[in-house]
Amino acid sequence: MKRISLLALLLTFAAAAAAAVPTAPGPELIAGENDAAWQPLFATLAAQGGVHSTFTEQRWFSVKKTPVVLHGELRHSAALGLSLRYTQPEEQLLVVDAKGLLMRNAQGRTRAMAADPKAPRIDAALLPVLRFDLPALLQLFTLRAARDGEDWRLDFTPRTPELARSLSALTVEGAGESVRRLEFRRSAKQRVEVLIETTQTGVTFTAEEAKRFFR
Amino acid sequence: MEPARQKWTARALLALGAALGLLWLARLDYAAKLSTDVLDLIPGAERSPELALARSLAADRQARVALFALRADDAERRERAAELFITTLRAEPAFAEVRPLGDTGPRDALGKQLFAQRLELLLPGWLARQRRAHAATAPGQPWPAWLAERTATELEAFLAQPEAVAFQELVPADPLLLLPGLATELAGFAEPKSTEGDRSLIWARTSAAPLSEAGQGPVLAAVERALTAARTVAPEAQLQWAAIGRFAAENRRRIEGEMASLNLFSLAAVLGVAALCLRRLWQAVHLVPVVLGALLGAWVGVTMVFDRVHVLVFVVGSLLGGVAIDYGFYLYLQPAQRAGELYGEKVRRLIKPLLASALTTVLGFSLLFFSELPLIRQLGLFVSCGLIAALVTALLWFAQLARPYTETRAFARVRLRGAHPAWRLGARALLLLGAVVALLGPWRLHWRDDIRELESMPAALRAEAQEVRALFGDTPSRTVYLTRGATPAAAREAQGRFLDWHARQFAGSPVASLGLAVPTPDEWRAAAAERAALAEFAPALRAALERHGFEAGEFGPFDTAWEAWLTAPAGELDTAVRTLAAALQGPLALSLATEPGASWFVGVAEHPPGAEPPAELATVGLDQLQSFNRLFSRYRVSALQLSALGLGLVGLSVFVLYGLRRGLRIFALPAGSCLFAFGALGVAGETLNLFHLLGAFLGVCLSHNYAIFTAENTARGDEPPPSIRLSALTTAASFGVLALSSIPVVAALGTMVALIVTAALAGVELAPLARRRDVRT
Repeated sequence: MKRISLLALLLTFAAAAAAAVPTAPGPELIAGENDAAWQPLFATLAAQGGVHSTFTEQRWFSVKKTPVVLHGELRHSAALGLSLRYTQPEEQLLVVDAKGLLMRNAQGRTRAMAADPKAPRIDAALLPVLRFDLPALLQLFTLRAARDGEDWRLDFTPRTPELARSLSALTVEGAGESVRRLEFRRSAKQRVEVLIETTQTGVTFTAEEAKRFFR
Repeated sequence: MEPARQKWTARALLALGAALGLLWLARLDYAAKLSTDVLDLIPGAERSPELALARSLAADRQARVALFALRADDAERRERAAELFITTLRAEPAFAEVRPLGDTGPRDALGKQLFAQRLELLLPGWLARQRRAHAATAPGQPWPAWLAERTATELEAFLAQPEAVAFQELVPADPLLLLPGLATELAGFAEPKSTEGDRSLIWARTSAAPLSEAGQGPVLAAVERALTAARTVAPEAQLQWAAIGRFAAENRRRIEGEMASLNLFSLAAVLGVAALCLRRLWQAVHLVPVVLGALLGAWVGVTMVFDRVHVLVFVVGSLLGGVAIDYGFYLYLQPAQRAGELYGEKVRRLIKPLLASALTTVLGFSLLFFSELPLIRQLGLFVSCGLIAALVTALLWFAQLARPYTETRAFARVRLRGAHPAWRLGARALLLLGAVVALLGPWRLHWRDDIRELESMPAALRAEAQEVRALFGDTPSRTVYLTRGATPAAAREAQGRFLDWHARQFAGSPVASLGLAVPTPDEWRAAAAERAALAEFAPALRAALERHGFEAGEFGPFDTAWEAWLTAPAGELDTAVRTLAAALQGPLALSLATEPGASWFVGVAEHPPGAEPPAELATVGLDQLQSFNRLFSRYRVSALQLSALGLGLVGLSVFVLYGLRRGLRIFALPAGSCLFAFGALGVAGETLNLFHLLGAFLGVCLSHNYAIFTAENTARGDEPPPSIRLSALTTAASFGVLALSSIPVVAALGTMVALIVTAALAGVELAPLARRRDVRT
């Protein structure tokens, strides 16, 4: 139950608005067969270093007529993991790292869930996505890739029913070397869209930032 | 009686007694009669309810849990090995349930059941909280309308929380957020984890109770087979595991080993001293029947009276040899007063000191029969029966000998007769030193009782168990509480009071418990009474949801469940809790119990053990060890009182038999020796426990024998009989053997008795020397 809640965390980061992003998933990417054309993009994205972005998240629920809109900051570092700091409508921090998941509210109350390598959940699955770690991704997901000029689209389908139950389908869209949009989709009425706004790459987080925004 | 007739009568009685005793022992079911369970050392009707509960808990459900950590370097091989281990173990009849710790099945089953009972179990508490908020913030507003508006507001805020997406499927059936609220409160409580570092974690429950044979041997064999199977895919796999059955089996094996070796060595030590001191070596054989008769009488007596006897009684009981042989020595080493003195005449001459020493000791030990501690009661009876049997056996055995007398070797009879004043001064100095130690040393004593000292557990096994339990989350930084009640409702009521206390005592460290999924009896009754008033809630909620931008039509599942709840008959809280309990699986099944008379909820708090809940909260920290240790400390005080009373009776009987002045002189030896032993241990910085106290009691009774025998001889103008020296040496030898035991309490007992009898012997030997000039004058 609680682990499922982590899905919300995933909704983070991305880049700015899209242009002519492919509207449908591309062919399945199979390691060693047809992934050569995608290796440079994955390598570039993986080598971005620390990332700091702002984002807007829209959550569609079947019970709600309009999406719930949240704003926040995304921080990602290979060493520290992913940090989602929601600033609106209220202050919330969500950290996904090798130890698992951590949530901290404005009052400082912290809740944590340990990672379990044997049963990877959304927290464990999200990190390889953000790191664009292709071998790790292909273990967890079936990956379809499509490109239209500079714009590209990656569709991730979980390989295990357990992961599918919490993650459903994930789409990452981008342009050039920037991630612009992520979508976690269960159905048309149940989905989460994360629009990445400004992004800085190669960021080095200070000790103070690491303490404040990570575990 | 004619000597020939006396001889055959004695033989017939001995044969009859031995035959009856052996027949009794032969027909016993030793598996049922003997216990190695440390819990059997605690009274079944322990007066502290929380300890009685902890005792029953340890003896039942939780005791059957086995925890495994399978280690292998390669993660993939380890995973396959763990699967094979689990499959093999599941096929074993010795195991009732085997799961990877990360198995989400129990958690999913809990979630499913809580969803089904959400309105029955979670709604009453939610209503109570909302009632309080209504009273505090808007008492003037109509209750159903206020409640509907608040519900919609809270639901809207919830959708912006990180966990909202995870609960989105649930929201149409639970707009009151009963389950998400509980999930927040139970954070970490049902969190499964299948691996820890390079180890796969497996949880299992054995079919049989761990303290039964079926819960030990077959379990060990099954684990061995499962490990063998796991090693077919991961040859390097190492298994660490913790299970009470495993410890009980190891404990039993070691205690039984100790029992055999200690009894054997003790007997050998006693006979060795006898053989060394007696002029004719083979005549030492005549002391063996006395020891065997004592042991037979003790075994028969204790097994007749008690349904279940702890095996430790027989280990400690091996000391009986050292005491029983006293009577043999005293009878056997007393020469005839005149040529042709008949055995009957000799017995009439010696019977007073024999009876005085035996019966006063029996009297003292009989008092232990009133102890609260089963072990002490059993020990008191064991020694009392053994001493009576020893005396009877000695009287009968020597009655059927043609020559019931033997001589000691010269060195065993030799007396210290230094004429030089230096001898006297030296003896006095030694006695003075002893007195100083006896008077000052006891003030330096420290007492500590630890139930673990009753066990004979290898340190490596203990460390392994600790490591495995830590992997499963049982760490010093976490405190587990257990709140009890006669019924589930009573337990929940007590837990409510406990949670209030805990929130004040450990602010910021909430308790996670399945009890939070259960309303208190007050909340249950209030919700039942409020149904009529809530008839307007559903339409009001629909309207409020529309106002907050929700699709009210999407909440059909809630409307249906709400209508059913409103019209269902109000049931019993206990029944509802039992329905929940019946659905629990795996480790979660151990988090609450609903049996009448023994219902409880487990609570977990992320803080180290600290302040203990007051007794009225009916809650105990599940650090059973500390509880049992406190219990043992209490029993030590109880044993001290009984010992003091017993010693008082022993002293009183001596005064009655020998008069005040002689009585005082007689009693000074055991009392002084005992104080010296305590003083010596105090000076040495030893920490004492309940069993040092028992040893002291036994030592006093033994040295009391020597004092009586010495006083008898002194009254006749004789020197102390050599039997005292032999008795003390054999006793010191047999208890010295016990002092080497790997069971700490047995070693404590042996050390104490050996010290006291040695001190008493020194007193007997040095006293005449110290007053030698007085004797001459």
